[in-house]
Amino acid sequence: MPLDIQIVRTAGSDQTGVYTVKLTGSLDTLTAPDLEKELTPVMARCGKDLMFDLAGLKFISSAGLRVFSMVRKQLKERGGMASFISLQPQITEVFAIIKALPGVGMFTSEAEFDSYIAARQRIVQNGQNGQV
Amino acid sequence: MKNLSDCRVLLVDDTKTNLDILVEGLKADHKLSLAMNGEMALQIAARTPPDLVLLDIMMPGMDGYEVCRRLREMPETADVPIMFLSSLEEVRNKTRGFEAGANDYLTKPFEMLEVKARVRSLLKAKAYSDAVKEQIASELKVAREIQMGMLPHDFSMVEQTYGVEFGAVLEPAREVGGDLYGVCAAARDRLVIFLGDVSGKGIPASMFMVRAISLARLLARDIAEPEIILARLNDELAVDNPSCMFVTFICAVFDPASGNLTIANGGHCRPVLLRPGEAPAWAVKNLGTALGFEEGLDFERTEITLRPGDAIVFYTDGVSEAFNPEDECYGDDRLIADTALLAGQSAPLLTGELLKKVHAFANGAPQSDDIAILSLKIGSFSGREGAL
Repeated sequence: MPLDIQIVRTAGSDQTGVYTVKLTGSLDTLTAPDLEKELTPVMARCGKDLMFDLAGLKFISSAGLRVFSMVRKQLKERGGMASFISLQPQITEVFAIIKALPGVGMFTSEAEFDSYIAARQRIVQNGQNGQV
Repeated sequence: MKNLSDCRVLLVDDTKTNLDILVEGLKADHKLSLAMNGEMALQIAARTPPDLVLLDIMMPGMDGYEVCRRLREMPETADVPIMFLSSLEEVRNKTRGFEAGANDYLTKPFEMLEVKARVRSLLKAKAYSDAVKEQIASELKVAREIQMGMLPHDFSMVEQTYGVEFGAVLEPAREVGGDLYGVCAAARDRLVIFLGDVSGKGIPASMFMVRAISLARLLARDIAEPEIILARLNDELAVDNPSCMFVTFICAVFDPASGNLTIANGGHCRPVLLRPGEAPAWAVKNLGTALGFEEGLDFERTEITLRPGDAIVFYTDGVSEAFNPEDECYGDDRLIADTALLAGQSAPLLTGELLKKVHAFANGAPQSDDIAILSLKIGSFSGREGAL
């Protein structure tokens, strides 16, 4: 099963955009290097956060999970996180071994992700205003 | 590297005159096989695999394109250079030839000097490629022996000392792999058992496996609590890990006097607990986080008491995620059902029979992941006096 990779800029400029990576198919030993390659320029431009839409992802192996863990590590070092939305049950099962890591966000939908981001921004703004 | 004069060239053409010209031009430099149609060419190639094929296109019966495609499908000739020699000189014919798997295309009428030059060039490339493949195969063979040598094979001393029985098997999907297991007789009251699975397959996984198993052995000697072994191992693996490799790893510490088995899980498949007269059950509840991602992680501890006759089966996901030709997964339900059928067997038999069931399920489908199984069965007595 191949992997289809779609990278969509949802906001911002080419240099500092907000990106969503949509994956469809199988992320395994054969396809993980393709994703790693496609993500290199995105990681240079995406700032602190990157969202993966996994609604179409049917299978993930440990080689695929390793690519996500690299993204998570880099974003965490920038103070951001890798977010994953719309995971199918079999993918959620595999994510159990990384879901507790700092820098990993798992959301059932884009709406839930947006609520989380809005809440996070409120906390940051309140902190800047001296509120807790 | 193979000498060019030892290389065999298969000449395929339905026109005898063409074959005569080629034989005359090449016989002094190479060994030759001749075929006057496609079917004969395939038979000869299967019987005496050539190092190069010079192939006509327009022949009665099977044409050269089809012969080329079939040669590519045969393991013996999948990588053999194929050069078309044809009077079809349009680009679309040449394109079709390359799409069928050819390496080169020369139009008739040809100059023998050019044929000879191209033949030498293709044979040199093939000889170099073969030499590199042989070297890699030879190095991987040694690497496999080294890796297999890191696994325990003879459990008899440990079995006698601790009153237990082990069965173990490891089958890498490639020459080397990332699955690992170990048994460490750390102290009279402490037998440490571990099993892990490194992300990915092949050489990178095997190198991380060596790092993980070496560290695990050292930590198992000195640390009594499996959750601490995991935490320390995780810290060691997480530093200087730019490729973000990781290992799912489960560690258990057995005290033969009390029968206590303490288990900590770092993201690994849950082992199956088999008790006489009871249905198989998962030995731990949670998966936990795999090792190598991040320093400073904590791991959960599970305690169970094992009684004589109880067995516990550790395995990697090459078992639970084995696929059959219909692309169905072996899965947890089959694993539980099959281990239930094997309850009461000795640990080696339990291990071997479970492996057979996984192979039978896969039904010849290529092994997609490394497979490791380690079974522990408690004997009718606990640890002997004066052990260690």
